[in-house]
Amino acid sequence: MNSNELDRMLGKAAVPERSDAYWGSFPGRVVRRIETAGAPPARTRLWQLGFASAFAACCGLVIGFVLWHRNARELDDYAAMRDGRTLRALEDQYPGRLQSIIRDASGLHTQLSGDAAPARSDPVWLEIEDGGDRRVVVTYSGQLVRCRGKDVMVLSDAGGQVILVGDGFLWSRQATSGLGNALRIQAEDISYSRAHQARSPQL
Amino acid sequence: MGRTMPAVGPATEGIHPVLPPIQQRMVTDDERILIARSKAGDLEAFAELVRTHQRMIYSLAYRMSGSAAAAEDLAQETFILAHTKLAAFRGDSKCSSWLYRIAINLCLRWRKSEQRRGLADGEWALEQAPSDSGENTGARVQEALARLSPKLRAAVILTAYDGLTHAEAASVLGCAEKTLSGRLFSARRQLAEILRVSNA
Repeated sequence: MNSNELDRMLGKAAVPERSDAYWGSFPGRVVRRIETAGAPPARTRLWQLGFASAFAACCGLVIGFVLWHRNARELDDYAAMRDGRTLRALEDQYPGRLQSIIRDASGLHTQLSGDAAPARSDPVWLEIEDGGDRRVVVTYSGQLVRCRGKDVMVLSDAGGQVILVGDGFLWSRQATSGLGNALRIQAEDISYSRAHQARSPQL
Repeated sequence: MGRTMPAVGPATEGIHPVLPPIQQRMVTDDERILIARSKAGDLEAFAELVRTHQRMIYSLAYRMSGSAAAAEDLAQETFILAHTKLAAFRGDSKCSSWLYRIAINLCLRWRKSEQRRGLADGEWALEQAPSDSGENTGARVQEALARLSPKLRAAVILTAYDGLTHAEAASVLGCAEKTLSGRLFSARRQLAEILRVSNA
């Protein structure tokens, strides 16, 4: 069967005729159904409401889980930095090259030197809160960290005292200068505090 | 009455459309006014819109469902649904295209629900429209159409019977023009084969 024959045959399939009375009353029947229907059936609306509620609850659960997971991971990161686990793991991975580990809102970062340094000073833990930003840094005495857009040197003495020194900037537990009101710093020599904790039970 | 109108305008792929092509059924100013009044809640104006398009939608529903009773229900449902969606109709497409889209979607959904009940294809052959030639050809064509998948059938009906261009039919069916052309090619090949076998 060629295309023309098919077209001719398709043209022969007619739709049953309806009377003029039928077509005359058809719009009226539609309008009557619209008038009686009014608002959509309550069952539909309940179903939609139920579906929307279930969907919102699922979204809430997912968002809650993500936030909880993120918070738990953040806390775990801070704890691992504080007790030296992160430091040991990264030192093993990059022997002599690790300069600092930084945990901020965007995650965990490391700063590495190009060459391995033969001797390392004591590790220092720093927590810097500047307004709403919180940053935890584990670095070594003698390294530079950024604070309020300035490079600040981290120094620790034999007694475990930590000092941050920069251009017009000084911070220690006893004295501070050049810091704004919103800047809050905590610092600790991790190796000194660990050694001190290890000795304490024997005293 | 609408079904016996002479074929006018350019035929699609050589098929003679029974209704005038959609280009000749442009939205008139009167129709715009009726739509605006209907949006404002004037049911009399909406009834006038129904009157304008009722045969077109009924024919589409009949060819898609194969049942006069189902076609009446589907045509009514189409206009009721159109009334609920009237506020969203911005008039950037033709009123007829918009109604076609609603009707086709309803028919496809109806086909699915009927197939789940195992009814649709069985009813098709029982209701045979009188053919123009007075022979059984019309019924055989409708049976052949019934054997096509709903999407292939919709493509044939919109282009061959309602005279839509490929672009218009693709827009109504929500597919690409290439997809529509592919469906038409496949549908025509299947139809030719079914009719050849039934003729033998």
